[in-house]
Amino acid sequence: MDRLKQKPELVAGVDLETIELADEARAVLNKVDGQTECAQIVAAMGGSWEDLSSHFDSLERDGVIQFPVQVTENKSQKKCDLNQEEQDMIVAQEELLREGNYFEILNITPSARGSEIRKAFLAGSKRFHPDMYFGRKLGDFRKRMEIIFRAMKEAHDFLSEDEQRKVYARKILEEQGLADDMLETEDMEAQEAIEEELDPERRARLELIEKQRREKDEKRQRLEDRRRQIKDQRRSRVPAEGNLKKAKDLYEMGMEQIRAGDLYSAAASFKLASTFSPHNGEYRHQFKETQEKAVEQKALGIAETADLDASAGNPAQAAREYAQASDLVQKNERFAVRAAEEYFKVDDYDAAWFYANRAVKAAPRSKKSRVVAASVLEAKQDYEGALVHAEMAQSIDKEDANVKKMVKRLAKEAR
Amino acid sequence: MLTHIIGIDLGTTNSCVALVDKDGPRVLSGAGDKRTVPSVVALTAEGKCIAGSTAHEQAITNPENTFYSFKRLIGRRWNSRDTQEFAGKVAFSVSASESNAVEVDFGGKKVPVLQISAMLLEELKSLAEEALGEEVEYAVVTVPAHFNDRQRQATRDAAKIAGLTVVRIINEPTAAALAYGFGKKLGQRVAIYDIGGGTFDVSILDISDGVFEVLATAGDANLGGDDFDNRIVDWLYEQIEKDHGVDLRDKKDLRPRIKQAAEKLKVDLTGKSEATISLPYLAQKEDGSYINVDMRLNRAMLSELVDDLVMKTIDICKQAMEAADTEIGAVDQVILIGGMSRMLALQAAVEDYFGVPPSKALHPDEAVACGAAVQGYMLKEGELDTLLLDVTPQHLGLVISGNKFETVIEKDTTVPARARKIFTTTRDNQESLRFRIAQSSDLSFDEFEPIGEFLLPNLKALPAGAVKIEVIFEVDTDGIVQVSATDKDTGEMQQIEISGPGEMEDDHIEEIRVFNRTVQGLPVVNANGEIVEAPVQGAGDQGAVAGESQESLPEESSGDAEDNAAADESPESSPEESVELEAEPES
Repeated sequence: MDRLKQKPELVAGVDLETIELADEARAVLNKVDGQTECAQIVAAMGGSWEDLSSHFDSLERDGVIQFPVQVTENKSQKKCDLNQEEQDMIVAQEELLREGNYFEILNITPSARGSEIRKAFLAGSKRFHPDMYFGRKLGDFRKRMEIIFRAMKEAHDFLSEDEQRKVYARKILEEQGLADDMLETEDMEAQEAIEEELDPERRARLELIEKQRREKDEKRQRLEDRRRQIKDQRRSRVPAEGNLKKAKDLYEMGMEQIRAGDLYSAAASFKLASTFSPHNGEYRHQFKETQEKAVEQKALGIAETADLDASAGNPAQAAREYAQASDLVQKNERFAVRAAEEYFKVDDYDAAWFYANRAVKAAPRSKKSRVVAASVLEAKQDYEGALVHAEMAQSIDKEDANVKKMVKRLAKEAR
Repeated sequence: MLTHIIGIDLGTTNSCVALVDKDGPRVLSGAGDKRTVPSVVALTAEGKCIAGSTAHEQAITNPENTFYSFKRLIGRRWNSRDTQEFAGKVAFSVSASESNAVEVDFGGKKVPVLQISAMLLEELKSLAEEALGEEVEYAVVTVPAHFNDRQRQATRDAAKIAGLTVVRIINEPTAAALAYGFGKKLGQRVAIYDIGGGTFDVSILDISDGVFEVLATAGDANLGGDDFDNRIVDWLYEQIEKDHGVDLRDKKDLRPRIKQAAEKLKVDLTGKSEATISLPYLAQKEDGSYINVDMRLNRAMLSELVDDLVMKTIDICKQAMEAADTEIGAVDQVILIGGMSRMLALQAAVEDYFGVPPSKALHPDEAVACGAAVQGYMLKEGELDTLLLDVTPQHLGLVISGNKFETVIEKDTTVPARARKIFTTTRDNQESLRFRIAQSSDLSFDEFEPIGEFLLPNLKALPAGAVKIEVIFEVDTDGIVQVSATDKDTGEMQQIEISGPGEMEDDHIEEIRVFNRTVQGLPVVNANGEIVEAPVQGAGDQGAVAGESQESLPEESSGDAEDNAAADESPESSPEESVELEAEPES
């Protein structure tokens, strides 16, 4: 910065008479009045800047004169792209930082708790974190926002400790209470209770939240206990070398059995393998996968028999078999639809509805499951319910004449 | 106003570029099934440099001049254990630079690792430009969560060489969380389990009200798909030795082929319970007969080969959960990313630990790049009402007497961060104090890495422990660390800024940039926008290139010249002995 253009001023509180100075320095000092530029002082003394600048330096170092810092401040403000509103917001928050308590810094009341504190911190972060103004020139506001953000973070962290917060909040309320109303020194909890009494609806809501939180905590605890239990069991069962070998052999056997098409035996082998070597996730995975496949295979077998029975004109037998298959693989839409259809034929509408409903759940966007559900409900004389499914079926296939007829018929009945 | 800010996932094995605009995220590096780029750079026999898919394809026929997994070396010291271990496993040759950084042999020239990274980044940049039809200048680049300051800085410099301005470096798991939560109204605690080709990281984040707050991160710099592959590779060598009586481990040129087979085997085993490997005519025996490899591996055997690696990742999850002060049941969602996360044994172990089935909402290979692009979009737009609260990746502190590390700002502290501690002298009438700033990823081993130092002179002659020096550490959102030390008595103050963006000299970056473009056969444009004729064709003819990166901080404090102020110290006492933590730090 160019010193020549600056106007040095005297530092307040320095006794100019008692300090020891060389004559030339004294002469410089006498010209310092906060109005005159260095260049003018030098000119008035008839000297050169090269000769005299060291006096300014030493006078400044000794704390006798100072150079006003406004120049730099102006500069940093000029380099800032924030609008007046944003600047005011920052200045106002700085005020809070100087004077306010943790609650005030976050712009909440001392009765605020848990999620309210967190929400306030998140909202504050979105106003004062420098990243929210990325790409804009922030000048010295960058540092100032950092200070604000850190203070908010500190307040959040402090108030997030429940016990700590309670003590702190009570202290603040006491202070305020002493100032205007002694009643305010009541215990925080009691005060909260009074507040809630005023608004039964709010209290009920809070109780519900509290209950849910408790339940969640308990569930969490149970989960954690269970996990630990399993871990402990596993740890206590460190598989011996022999067991690992056994597990491997069993696994190989299971693979053989899969190749031979005997999925049930394979699943059993994998299960056994996983008990010998509980650490190996693959054994467990393979067991689950194979077991699922085995069940599916079995269901398919039963469904094949059911197909034969149905075509042989034995709907009661076929219905039972499809139901069995569907119970094994509940996700299979065809099994459920076929079970519903066959039960429908033998007029067992309750059973038919059970499987029709399952079919709809397994495949809500399937015309077949919708049609069978509509038919069964129609037979049960629930026309409104039937109409819903029929309309769904129509939305899936707009061209189907039978479905169209069905919708028309059901609409009439429903009315 | 900034133009586009792209997101770059610079992976160990694969890399990806993405962009987010008002239409949402999209991947810019490729289309269809192949939307990532292999992190491979090669020098062809003609002396031309290629990067990405073309480099990957020729890897087998050109093993010594094909560079892969170099992310594991970037910003590393040569004499670190990790570097040494890794250097023994790659087919290209690596060596130490003068400043103890790592250099690779690039067609007879020694070039810093970050220069190789820059070549890949240049390829990614041009892919993005092709897809967008306009020039790209700004990027958010991701790094593993455990990357230290040097590694982050080297990544920044590599981008600069490639002609990119890095507006922010963020952690990979953080990026994944951004990709997961952006644009959704969430109130969730999520765990990100990121296992890529070379690194493993886990982060715990809280996502609510549009704010993504990183709570804790943990990771292992040397745990990833490569290690899983290497287990298979080792197993293959063992089997070959058993079946054919030949040890092929020393034959470096065979390694890429075997490694590729191992990779394929691993990938096959995610879809099938059993897979075969076939390497006909792998090598010739002394009697002239060929070694034909034909083997079968099943999932259970693979599980066994890698079981301890899997368990290691779970242990790291535990560390992160503890650091985040989060209980198992409080995690609402676990997100798996990184190529390795496809492995079923890993998925099972993760589910077992967290008690929630892992979410597959994100594409394991693209999520990180998309998340980086999300951060770019968030920063650029500014008015989306969303914010990322990131944390410091490492412990920051001072090296004090006895060569001990004293933390000032802990790892996982939200940035911008600031902390102060009072330090003092260890000897009577000490005239100066040397402050050595260091970072540490793991306090339990008392391991740390110096990142800068300065001297505070003109102390008052006082007995040991009587001088009070206030040390203030500050880290801003760009990861720039500022350290100041103030003598409470005299007001004497010194400060240093570490890791500002672009620590490498601009001239030097320009020099490397020109070299890189030349070997890639790209036109070199000078400051006036004129195309400078490429001076030489082959890298082999290239004049002196290379040089050092920022990785030139003195390993030991030099103790000369600038150290005059400490001249009265006895010669055998090392300068670091001079700083001591004050017994009662001021609160």
